[in-house]
Amino acid sequence: MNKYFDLLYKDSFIKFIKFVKNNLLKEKKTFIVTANPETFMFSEKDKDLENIILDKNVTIVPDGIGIVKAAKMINNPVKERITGIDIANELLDIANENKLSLYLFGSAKEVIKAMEEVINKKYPNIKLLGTSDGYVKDKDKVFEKIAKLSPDIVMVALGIPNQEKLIYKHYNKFKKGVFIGVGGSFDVISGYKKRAPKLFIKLNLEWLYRILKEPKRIKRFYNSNVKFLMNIQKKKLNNKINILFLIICCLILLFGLFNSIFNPKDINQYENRTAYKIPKFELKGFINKTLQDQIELSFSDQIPMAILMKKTYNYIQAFTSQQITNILLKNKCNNLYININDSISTFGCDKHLVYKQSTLKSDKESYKKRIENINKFIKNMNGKVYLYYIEKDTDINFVNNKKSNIYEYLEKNINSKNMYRFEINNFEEYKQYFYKTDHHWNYKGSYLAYKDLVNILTNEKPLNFENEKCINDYFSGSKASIGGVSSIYKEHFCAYEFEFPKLDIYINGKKENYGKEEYYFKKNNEYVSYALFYGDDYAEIIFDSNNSKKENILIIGESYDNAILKLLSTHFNKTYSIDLRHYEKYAGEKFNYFDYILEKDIDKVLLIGNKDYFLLEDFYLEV
Amino acid sequence: MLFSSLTFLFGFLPVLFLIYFICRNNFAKNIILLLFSLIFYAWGEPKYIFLMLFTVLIVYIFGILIDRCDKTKKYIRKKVFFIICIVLLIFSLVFFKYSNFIFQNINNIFGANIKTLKIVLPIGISFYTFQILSYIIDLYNKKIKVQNNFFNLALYVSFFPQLIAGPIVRYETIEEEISNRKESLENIVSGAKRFIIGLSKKIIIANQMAIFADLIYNNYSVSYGTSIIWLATIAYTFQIYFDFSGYSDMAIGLGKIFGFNFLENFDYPYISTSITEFWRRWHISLSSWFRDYVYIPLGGNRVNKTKWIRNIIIVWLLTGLWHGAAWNFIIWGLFYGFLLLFEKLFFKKVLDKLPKFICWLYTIFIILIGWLIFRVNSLEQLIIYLKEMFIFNKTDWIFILSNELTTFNSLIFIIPAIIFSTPIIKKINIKFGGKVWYTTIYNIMLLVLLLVCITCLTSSSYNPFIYFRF
Repeated sequence: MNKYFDLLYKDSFIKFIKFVKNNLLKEKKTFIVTANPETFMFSEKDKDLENIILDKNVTIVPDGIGIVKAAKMINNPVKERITGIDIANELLDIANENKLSLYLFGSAKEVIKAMEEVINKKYPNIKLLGTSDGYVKDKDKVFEKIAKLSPDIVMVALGIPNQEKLIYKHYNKFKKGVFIGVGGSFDVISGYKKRAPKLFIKLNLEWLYRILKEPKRIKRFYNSNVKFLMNIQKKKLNNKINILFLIICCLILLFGLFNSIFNPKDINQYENRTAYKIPKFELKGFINKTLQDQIELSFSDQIPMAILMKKTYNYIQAFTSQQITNILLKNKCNNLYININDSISTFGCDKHLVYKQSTLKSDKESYKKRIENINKFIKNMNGKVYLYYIEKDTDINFVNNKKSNIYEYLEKNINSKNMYRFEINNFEEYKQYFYKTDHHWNYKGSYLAYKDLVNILTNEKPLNFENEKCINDYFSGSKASIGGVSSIYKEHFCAYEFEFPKLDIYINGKKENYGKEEYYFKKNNEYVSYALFYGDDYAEIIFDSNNSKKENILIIGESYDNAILKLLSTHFNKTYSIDLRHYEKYAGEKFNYFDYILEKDIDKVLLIGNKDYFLLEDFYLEV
Repeated sequence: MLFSSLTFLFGFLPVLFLIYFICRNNFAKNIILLLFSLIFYAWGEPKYIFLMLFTVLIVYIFGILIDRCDKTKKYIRKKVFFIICIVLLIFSLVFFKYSNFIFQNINNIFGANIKTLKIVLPIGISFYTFQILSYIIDLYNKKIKVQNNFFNLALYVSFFPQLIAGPIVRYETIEEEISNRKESLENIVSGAKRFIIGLSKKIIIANQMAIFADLIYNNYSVSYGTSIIWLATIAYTFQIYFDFSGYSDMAIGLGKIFGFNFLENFDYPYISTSITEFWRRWHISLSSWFRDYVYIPLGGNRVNKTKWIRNIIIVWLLTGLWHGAAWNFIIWGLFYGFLLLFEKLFFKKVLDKLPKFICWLYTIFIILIGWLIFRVNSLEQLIIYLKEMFIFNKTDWIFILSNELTTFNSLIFIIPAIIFSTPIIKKINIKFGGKVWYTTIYNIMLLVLLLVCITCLTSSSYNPFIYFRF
């Protein structure tokens, strides 16, 4: 509706009359609409009326005080009220002065008659071409008649919007003329109705006089003025709210853009990798679309709160999956793998995360190559090599307990009589010895393996634990983070407490302690992980128990043996632990086992790991 | 580029708004829009952008020639130019889209061994070809005036809101607005709101429905029985509607922000009570394009009955074919063609007597079958799935659930999908639109939706777009 206000005549009444007089004398067609709040309100719902209002050839003047007030409210003010009755009076004066012709259409028969008399008496020079009361049936015919007469001024008093629509309908039949819809003006001019006293008009209280004279008008007045102004207020407020909405949207987008370009993060902690950043433009990358993908990925890492959004999203996904499992699979989960996502599943009803079985067939070539490498090593070592294979969830299908037989295959093809394994034959065993949310063995599993290895490698008795303690109940390991379900899958982290004899430990050459068992047993409810508790992967760890009567052992393993290194080292003089994944970076060269073993006077070598250890090239031993 | 991407929201839009609304004169504004539209297209199609520009150049030249012939009354020459231009345009579309399909069929039928060409379908070619066809045809018929400014014509064709997925905007719709438009705050607000609604439809509902529909439709497994195939078809029905109408909403909203008024493309098609009504509410810009440029020139319904039936079959054959170069699309088109004939010739009278709910059930049933035909990847799959739908076969729910648990998360979005397929929000808007409290709540909801969309885009890389094969 605001656009209607743009179309209002904004100058003074005097100027307007001058403009109309000018058009009259120049025979320029003019169509005047006197706008009341009703006019605009009708236009919003009445397309035909709206078309008239919006037409460039129509002049709209502010008749009602409501319009004047509303215009001011929306900061599009008009100079003053220009009423239909005042225009009509002026037109009559001008017509009389210049001997112009006039046609009157509308109102009751008696009023029209009275009008004729008034014109004859007061405006004798006007050529009254004809009149017609407002109650004729065929108003179009009347207008066709008027068109033939071609008067200078045509006043129509049929009420809004009928007078405007009628004029507009026949407008193009006329070559000249000033047309105006004057509503109830004939009543006043003819003397049938009195206009308000001058005082009322001057104080802009004409509306009050009309209500006092005709109390029924109050409803109409309320609807077209009070409600109208309230509507304008509402629209103003709505506008403000919408502008606020727009501003917030723009701020969100701009903020995201500027942050990504000018303040990028380097590391994505949540996903454990470097964060993607917006790259420089490169034509080649653009043509093969890698640049576009890179840019999209950088936005997903760099916009503010990206990590929070990812966490929330993953949490909701995990939560709804959990609900579906609880509801739909409640009684059927018992012997069932349920896929949490592409890499990880749960088995059973107990929120135990597992990896699905890997077959021998799928990696046979890689196993073959690894076996070759190990056999070469064994040949060079002349027999003092022990191998320990750790079976886990990837070695067995828990539904039918069928195994992948990877150990059997390795054992058959590796030229060593000293190959052993940590055996898992069913889900109960797996549950007992491995974490629910992490891929490592738990304290019971690692202790069992330790006892096994002491038996294999020495004649001694294994250390007994002093205590069994739980550190916290909210541990969530690697499997949970791969599944994005760390917030939902949690378990107890417990461990055995041992009384270790004195050990000198050197990690990558520096004398340090390995693992933080003592710290965790003292503190309560601290955040813990497998690596934090037992010790992390390092290129070279040396345990010295200062017992020269015992043998030296070299353990080439991965992260599983971290849990038992300290324990094993109590049975040897010097225990060397090498992690081939990190050695080259630390030492600047590949691990030369031959020289190392000679140098350190190693008596036994232990190769220990899970299926990946016996598969991946990272663990190849080279001279 | 896609609307539903972080690059578009955070990279393209803010920069475009800043530059555009600083410009004061219309020529600069159009150049900015054109430049950004070209970047938008090249972003997803760096090689074939030149094909599109070349197409515009051809039509630009032919347009001027045709106009000149008309002014110098050389009508035969005018017709010749017109025909050449149309042939070139259609040939380009057929070449890029249908040549391999044609060769494969020739090979199958005649045992020939034509090698298929190594061509990729340029994005949006079906849309922009039809748009530019509307320009040259309307120009020839003198419904519009020639566009003498190459940049303005290029802007009309490549304008980024509708370039990739419609609506198919006729030149006459925006002819005036290209040179003479006014952006108003009111339009920017309503355009922005429309855009957010479209974005939410796409990301929140369509993409989620896609996850489930794709699971069942991309691969067949014996564990899929009657119930899950029906469920997947329902999911796909929602996916395609919210994807496509969401995209149209975004297009219309973006257009409005810049002062362009595109026509509506969807009108709550799933409340239709007859197939005839459905096609007045679905992809309106396409069906009206075929009506005005194929059906009516062929005679429409002002010919004898045989020819009329022929006209309808041709239009629907082409409609199906427009959607893809595969037999199931042709079957889909003809499926609707025959159904419309069935309704017009006989069934309409029956429908008029039945209660509305029964009519709706009949319509929605046909629509579901239609989307099944549309979605399958091969005729073999069509036969298998039709069998499964109508001959009861048990679904191994436990097996499917345990293997694809996260896929089932998306099914919860069927509820909003059902609600927003009905015009309930439109009705609420009309009733409470002016009220201040309603505007406040509505705007807050839209902001929340925007943030949810951004969250989904940031977190998941799953963002398929169906109409890219067009």
